[in-house]
Amino acid sequence: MALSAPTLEVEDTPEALLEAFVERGWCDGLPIVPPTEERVLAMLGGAAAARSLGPMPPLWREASPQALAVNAVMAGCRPEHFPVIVAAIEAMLDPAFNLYGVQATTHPVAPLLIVNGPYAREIGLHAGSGCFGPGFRANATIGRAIRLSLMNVGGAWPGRHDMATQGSPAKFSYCIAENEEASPWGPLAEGDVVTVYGGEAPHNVNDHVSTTAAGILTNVAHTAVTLGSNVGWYLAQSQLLVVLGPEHAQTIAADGLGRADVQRFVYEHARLPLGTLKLGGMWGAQDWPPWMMALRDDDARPPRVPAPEDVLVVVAGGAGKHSSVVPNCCFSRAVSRVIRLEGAEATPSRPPRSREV
Amino acid sequence: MRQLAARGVTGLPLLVVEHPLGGERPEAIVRRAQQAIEQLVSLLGNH
Repeated sequence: MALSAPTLEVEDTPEALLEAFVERGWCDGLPIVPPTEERVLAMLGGAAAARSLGPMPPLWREASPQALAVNAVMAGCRPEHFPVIVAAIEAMLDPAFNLYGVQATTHPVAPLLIVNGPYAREIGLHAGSGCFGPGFRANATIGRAIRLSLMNVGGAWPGRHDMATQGSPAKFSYCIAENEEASPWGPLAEGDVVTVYGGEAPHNVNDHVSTTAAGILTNVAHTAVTLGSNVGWYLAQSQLLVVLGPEHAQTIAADGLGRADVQRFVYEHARLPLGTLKLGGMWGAQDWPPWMMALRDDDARPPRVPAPEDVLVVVAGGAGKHSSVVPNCCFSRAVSRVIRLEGAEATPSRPPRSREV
Repeated sequence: MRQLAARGVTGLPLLVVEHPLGGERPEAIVRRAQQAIEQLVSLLGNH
């Protein structure tokens, strides 16, 4: 199999290569692996190079496996990482994810990949200590390949089509596995599945003192809603992701709470009084159902997500008394795809466990 | 323009409303609306 893309000849030094790619706006500013034909073919692993996964906004260029493979090579991926990338891109092209909005908004949203299943462990996707941070090749390079694809295929360059006012470090790379062994409630999604979630960078939940589920979850709920958060203004597509550290998860489970109880607790408590909401944020531009628009009592506490199932709950991280909340951008919904290992194609997954629709 | 080309509608007339709108006072919004109407009339007149 040969590739259809034009080739670029560059002096064979890392410095010249980086300069050539930076000059053309083809990378994120960090050094890349040269996407030679040999490497791209190895990344494809027999997948049909030219088949389109669909047009990718905002410039609506075709997302072909070949184009994704070029970016995966540049990011430093190994070929076994590629099926996760294909499944994630297919999930992002689902209209429910609203990739156009995610790519072009002024909000600092980035697609977070949450990977479940044995394949994640096989390829070294990290779910333990420091999983949102540096040091783990699979997490770093798969997340980077997604970002490079969003820029080079979708055309979302910062300040040109990606209109994020400040952007986010999460836009460099944003990919974790769930720590399924440490979860008292089973995985977010069964099997080899990637879930994409349009979120802000993680907001830390520090709780070294609570010894009860109520204590920890009150802290989680308090972190989840602030006047400056996007979540809740466009209610129908607002979601919250709660990433519980294993120790917090165990404390919560020891009090007898299941995943649905955690979702209900956060749904009920992650709220602000109407009088506070009137002080700023997007007051006046909210898209709420009629019963919420009719509220007049400043002490009323309207929900910030449509239903308890819109609080996604996963377990990740290592030892310590920290968790995190990842608010979404409020105009995108989480989407899951099964990771197909033959031919690098993805198929629709059941929605995540926490979204039974 | 590149988005229009990719969607096969390069000749689609565009009505451009200057950013930002958020945080503007009502009188400024009214001024933008008036400018938009003028643009719209012009665009319709040319097609």
